[in-house]
Amino acid sequence: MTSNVVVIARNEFANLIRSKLVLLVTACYLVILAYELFSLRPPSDPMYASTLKYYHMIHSSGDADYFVGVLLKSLSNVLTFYGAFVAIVLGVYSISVEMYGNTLNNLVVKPLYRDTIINGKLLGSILFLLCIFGLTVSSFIAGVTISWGSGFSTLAVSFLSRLPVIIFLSLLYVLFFFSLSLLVSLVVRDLAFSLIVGLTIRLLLNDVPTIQIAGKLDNLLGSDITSQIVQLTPDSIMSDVFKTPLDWGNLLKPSVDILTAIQTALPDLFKLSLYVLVLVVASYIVFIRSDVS
Amino acid sequence: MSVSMNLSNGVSRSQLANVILVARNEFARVLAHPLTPLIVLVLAFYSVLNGIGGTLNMNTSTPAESGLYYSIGQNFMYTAVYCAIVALFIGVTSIAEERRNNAINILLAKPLYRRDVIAGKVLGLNIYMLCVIVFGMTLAAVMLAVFYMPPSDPVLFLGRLAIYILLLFVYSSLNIAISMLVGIIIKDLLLAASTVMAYIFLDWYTSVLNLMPGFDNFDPQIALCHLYINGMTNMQSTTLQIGQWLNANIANLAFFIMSIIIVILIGLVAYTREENL
Repeated sequence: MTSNVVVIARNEFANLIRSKLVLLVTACYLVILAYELFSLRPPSDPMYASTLKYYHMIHSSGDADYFVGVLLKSLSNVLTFYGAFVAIVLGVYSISVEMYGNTLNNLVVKPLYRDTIINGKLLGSILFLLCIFGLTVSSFIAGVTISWGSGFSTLAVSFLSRLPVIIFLSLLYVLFFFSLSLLVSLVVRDLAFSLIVGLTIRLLLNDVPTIQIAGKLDNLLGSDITSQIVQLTPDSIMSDVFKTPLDWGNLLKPSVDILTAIQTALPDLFKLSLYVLVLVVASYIVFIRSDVS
Repeated sequence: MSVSMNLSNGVSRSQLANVILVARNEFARVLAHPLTPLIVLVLAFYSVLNGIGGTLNMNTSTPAESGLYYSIGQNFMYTAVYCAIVALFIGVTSIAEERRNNAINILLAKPLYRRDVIAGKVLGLNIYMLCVIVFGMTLAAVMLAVFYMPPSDPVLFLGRLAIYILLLFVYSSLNIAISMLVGIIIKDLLLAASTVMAYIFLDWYTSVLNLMPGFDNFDPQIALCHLYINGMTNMQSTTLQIGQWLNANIANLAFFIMSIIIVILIGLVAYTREENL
């Protein structure tokens, strides 16, 4: 059974790498990366002066700690913000492309459990997402090395030491959208409509913690109920986990003990993992109960 | 002479009938799609929330005309992003979906010019978008008038609503044209749909063209925002008349409409020259 999962995963990964979608995804990632790098000013920039003054008033750690936080926050923005979009496309692609090409029929008549098919596709897509993340991180490091010069070389070790955690957490967030769109495409079965439903949910979830929805719900339902609703959304969970470089106990900053920071973030991470698990299990159920045509 | 005129009138009448037939068919296709209840629900959600929740705090003090015009502007922005998504998806599926299920071959076997097919599709999709926009903005205006305050000058308020509807309509129309072009050029439905999805994402959430000063008006979303608020007119103003707004923005509006025509023409050329549809 494990070998079946690996075979499907390898097949899924190969299909994704061969598809033209990769070019589109990579091109968009590079545009966003260029935009992010352009907005990221080097440490010598006067724009940091007032922020650093405030930072020194509330934190005892040095400037390097703050700038590593700024870099990692910027990278996590690229990975999660655009990663959610890529994940929605991949989730739809995994099922719809086989339904449209009538290859899903071939797959389900093989001696395979249907959950094995889902697991294989999930694994293949995770590998693909990790490749995209790897490419993005490499391009980000190259871009910062060029634009920040010696300013980055002193931060590189601290930056790299926190990188695996950032990649893991970003992957977890992105997997939420992958499993959501996988479920949507199994239920809706219309490629374009699955994409639009996935994108609409993404935009709504993106708006929930902002003044556009939370601000108004706050007026209607009161702050307690609104904050409970907001804390359920993946975007709010990620904001709580990553925080901003100015916040206390921020796991992006090298001066903060990583284990303590993760322990603090554990309830949030558990919540996000639970979402992914529930969505994947719901996908199993829908796929097992549905007639493939 | 009169025979040839009658003949030419007859031909143009039958062409017009063909365009209307395709438009009606296209309108019925998107109206029956599950997308319609989805967008109606989303727009109703934002309108009701903005109408009841967004103005609740303002109600604690004296309701002001400025709050009313500010809130309808907020609704305009929500409606713009969701209408952009809908316009892009109905545009991209219009050609690509028919190509995928081979319905396009049946359509092209009929005695129809390809330009009539495109014109009919553009017309049908635009009428659909107009219905969605009118629904969203009218509901938003009613919610605000009921839960916040009725406008002291209903004519001015209705005029503002008309400008918002016009802006959203031209913006949606441009998005329909762009996505139909994408659907014509890219034959793979998933790739075409993903391309328009990437476009909406980049356009609304990164504003990449902001990096190129002077070119930002070529970005539909930024061009729309310029028509909303610019150095000369502010749509949130409580005194702005339709005439004032038109005088200040006629050039930008004409640029928008020209862009729509150019994109449709490019799509038309690509579609008529394409042999393997």
